[in-house]
Amino acid sequence: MNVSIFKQGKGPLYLLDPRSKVMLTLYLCVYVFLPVTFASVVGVALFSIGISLYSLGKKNTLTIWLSVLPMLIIMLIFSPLYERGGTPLWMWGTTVVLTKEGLLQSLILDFRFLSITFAWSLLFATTKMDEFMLALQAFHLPYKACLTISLVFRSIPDIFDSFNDIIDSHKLRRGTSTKVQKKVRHRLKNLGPTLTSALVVSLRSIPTLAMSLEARGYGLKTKRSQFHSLDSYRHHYLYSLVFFMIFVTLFILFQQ
Amino acid sequence: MKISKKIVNGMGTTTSALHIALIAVLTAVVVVFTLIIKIPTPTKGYLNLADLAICFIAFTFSPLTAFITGALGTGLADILSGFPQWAPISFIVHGLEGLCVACIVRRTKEQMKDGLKVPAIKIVFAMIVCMVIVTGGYYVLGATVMSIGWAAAAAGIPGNVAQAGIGVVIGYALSRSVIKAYPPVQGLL
Amino acid sequence: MESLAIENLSFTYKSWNEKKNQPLLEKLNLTVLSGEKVLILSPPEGGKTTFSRIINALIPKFIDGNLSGNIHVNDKVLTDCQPYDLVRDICYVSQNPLEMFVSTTCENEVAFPLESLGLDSHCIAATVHRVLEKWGLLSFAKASPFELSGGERKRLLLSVSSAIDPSIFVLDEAFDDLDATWRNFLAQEIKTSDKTVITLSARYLRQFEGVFDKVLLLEKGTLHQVTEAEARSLFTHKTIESYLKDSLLLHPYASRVSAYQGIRQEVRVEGLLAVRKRESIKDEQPFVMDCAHFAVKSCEVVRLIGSNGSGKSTFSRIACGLDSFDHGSIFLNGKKATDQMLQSNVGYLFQNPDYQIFLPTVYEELAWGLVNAGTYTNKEIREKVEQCTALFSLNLQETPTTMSFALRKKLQAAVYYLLERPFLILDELDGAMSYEDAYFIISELSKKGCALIIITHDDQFAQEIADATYTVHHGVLEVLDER
Repeated sequence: MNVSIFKQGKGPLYLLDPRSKVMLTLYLCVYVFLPVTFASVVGVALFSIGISLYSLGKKNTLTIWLSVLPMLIIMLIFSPLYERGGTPLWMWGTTVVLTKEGLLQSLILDFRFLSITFAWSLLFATTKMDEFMLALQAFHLPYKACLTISLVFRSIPDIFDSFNDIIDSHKLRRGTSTKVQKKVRHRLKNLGPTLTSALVVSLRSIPTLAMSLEARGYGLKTKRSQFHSLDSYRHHYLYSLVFFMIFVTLFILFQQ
Repeated sequence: MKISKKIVNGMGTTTSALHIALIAVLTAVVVVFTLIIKIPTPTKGYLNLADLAICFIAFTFSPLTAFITGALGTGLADILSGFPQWAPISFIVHGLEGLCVACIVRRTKEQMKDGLKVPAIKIVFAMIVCMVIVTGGYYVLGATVMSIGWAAAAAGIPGNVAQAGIGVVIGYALSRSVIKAYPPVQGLL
Repeated sequence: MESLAIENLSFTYKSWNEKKNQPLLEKLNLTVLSGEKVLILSPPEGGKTTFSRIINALIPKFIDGNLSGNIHVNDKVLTDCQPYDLVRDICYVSQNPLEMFVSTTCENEVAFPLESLGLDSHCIAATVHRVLEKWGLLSFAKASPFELSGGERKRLLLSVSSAIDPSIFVLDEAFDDLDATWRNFLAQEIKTSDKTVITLSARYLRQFEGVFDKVLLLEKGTLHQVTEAEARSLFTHKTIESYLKDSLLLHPYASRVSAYQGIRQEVRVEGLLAVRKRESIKDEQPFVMDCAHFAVKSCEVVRLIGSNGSGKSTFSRIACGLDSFDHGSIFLNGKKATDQMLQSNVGYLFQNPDYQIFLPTVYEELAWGLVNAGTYTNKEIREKVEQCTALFSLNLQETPTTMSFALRKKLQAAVYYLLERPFLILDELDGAMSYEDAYFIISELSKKGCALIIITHDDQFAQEIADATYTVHHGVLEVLDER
């Protein structure tokens, strides 16, 4: 199982401090909800897509786009429900089907959703998980929480592999009887033993993992040092401030 | 001859290594359950076994454990499957789900030893609460914070209701069969 | 100075049912001087891992049990210490590396204990580089421990212990997964080190010659000293007759098959080619499984030998219908076999028996398959299960997950014994239990007419009883010799 969502690419985003990138993402998400013009939201969305095309390339950007396309279409389909009292765009006989304001409303939702999607996707695609965790620690997330999350990433491939082997093991133990196995009832019945084994195998690993943590010194009173750090990145405060100023300026220019 | 004192299982104040290991492994279980079977739907992305895993944890472990593992597990699963924008919402919704279901079905250690049964009324109540939290949470937060609008959010309702309801029932069944098959889990609680 | 002083150590695991458990270790005494090299030999289930964990203060802290006795590690009273207090004193290299990993990259894995000790980042970086280079893992520094092979994972654990550099090393089956070069390297490291090293093993390997100051036997819960010669004779493979007194397996195939009254079946593999994409960090050629010819018949015992990563499990998974292949054919009794046919007829005893255990008692586990078949009455099921448990020396009411590893493996074999699959693949059976028990299981299954494929990396195991031996090397499966 792939526990890495980091994608190789190029551009300034890869060189930016993760702390500044997190702040940038948050500023962007807040901005698109502020009372600003439709044009500026569209602008932010298109800009994010543009950065994605440059940094991640066509294929990755298309993947992100396709993952949210169904949702965007559904949202557009519901436009007739918004702003029913506005300027009619499309009539069917005497009933107003779609108003101009309604369409605009659902379009702004679409572009907002697009901006948020690309902002978060870019954050995770351009930041290594290690560095992301260090950024969280810098934002005062306690070490215990960071260690827990890092252990989750360590455990996922292990549990995933054993899950697949457990499914196979039960499959072989059952063999295939003459009864039709495709029925949902049978499938659910077969799920029970498999899930029970899977959960037991996972639970078994807990005491040994805890043993390893303590045997490697977790729990010592001495202050933990850090092997990796974000020291190689310079001036992250400056970048965060610059991003903040950019969005404040945009707000002043495009507020409604 | 000196008799050594038995060192108590580390859930107490001496060390949190066991607690961390427990939360980490259970969170990973939630992530794997969420991602291993994906039935795509147009709205949130996919129907999955997340609620099943969270309810299993809620029936077997403490409310705090259920809260953290539900929140972190589904949040991470969203990030890893390419839907990071939903992570904060999943975090809140499923965290609350774990917390509430665990609080409702909570039994003391002694009650656990006695046949592991939970009164049917509590199960039904847990089902209703779970369905309300998951469906309502995604509906409200989806429409507002995620900005998909009230109408589109409504499209996700049937899937969420089914997932939540089935999750509670199967989570309960799994909890009983796992505790019976692996009694030492009671030492981890 | 005494590194380790143990007096009257007794330990019993907690019982999770009404039955009381037998003590695993009883009034055990041991003194190890600083800088001494000690080898402790014990058959599987003898208590090696429990003992290692006890002296690292990990049991009974993390696995419940009753411990009594006096243990001093570097003059510290063990029961007053937490495991993290002993990081610099004693380090435990586990038999199963996977369960000990805490990080997502190899370099972080080595760095973790150094961070706990508060060393500064330059010092950590230098140490990480040094130990990874020493154990040949420098190219894997940024890789996940899960991408490594069995031997590489063992070496990663050894790197971590080298980085910590405690005064006492406890190596539980550290030689097991390593290939000959690394075994020699490790033996040399132990011999020339000035630290105290306690090595535990179930087999006496030739690399052990002349390395250790004392050799001890862990038997019936206590330790007693033996000479190297005695150890060698007790812990190397004996003649087959000593394990299988008058088993049918000692007779040639012709007499075995004539004694068998059931249907004679055969699986044949011809011209098999399967291409697997590699998922490792290096851009390598895809792995190609190439098997020109393979066959196994009822009552036959066939061996499949190969080192880790050679393709044994790839082949096994194809043979039982779990995975597909690209060219060639598999025939079951002359007919081309579909995946479904293979899955119903070929059973696979996975290395980890826990993959199939899910019920609260041994009885239920054994009865489950029979109940599902729907063709037996309750009385018949009970009889069959009771007969099977007596044969395999299992306890009907015991909870499988709380049984020892060897007993769980036996249960796994017992389940398949009752399922009566005509073909069975036994993966690394000899690693999980004593030779006696392993041969017994093979004998009983063969008596029922089962065609057995034994996978092992010990080329002596089952050598005399195998009707054919195949080797797998880099995906190429060929016949080595036939009886």
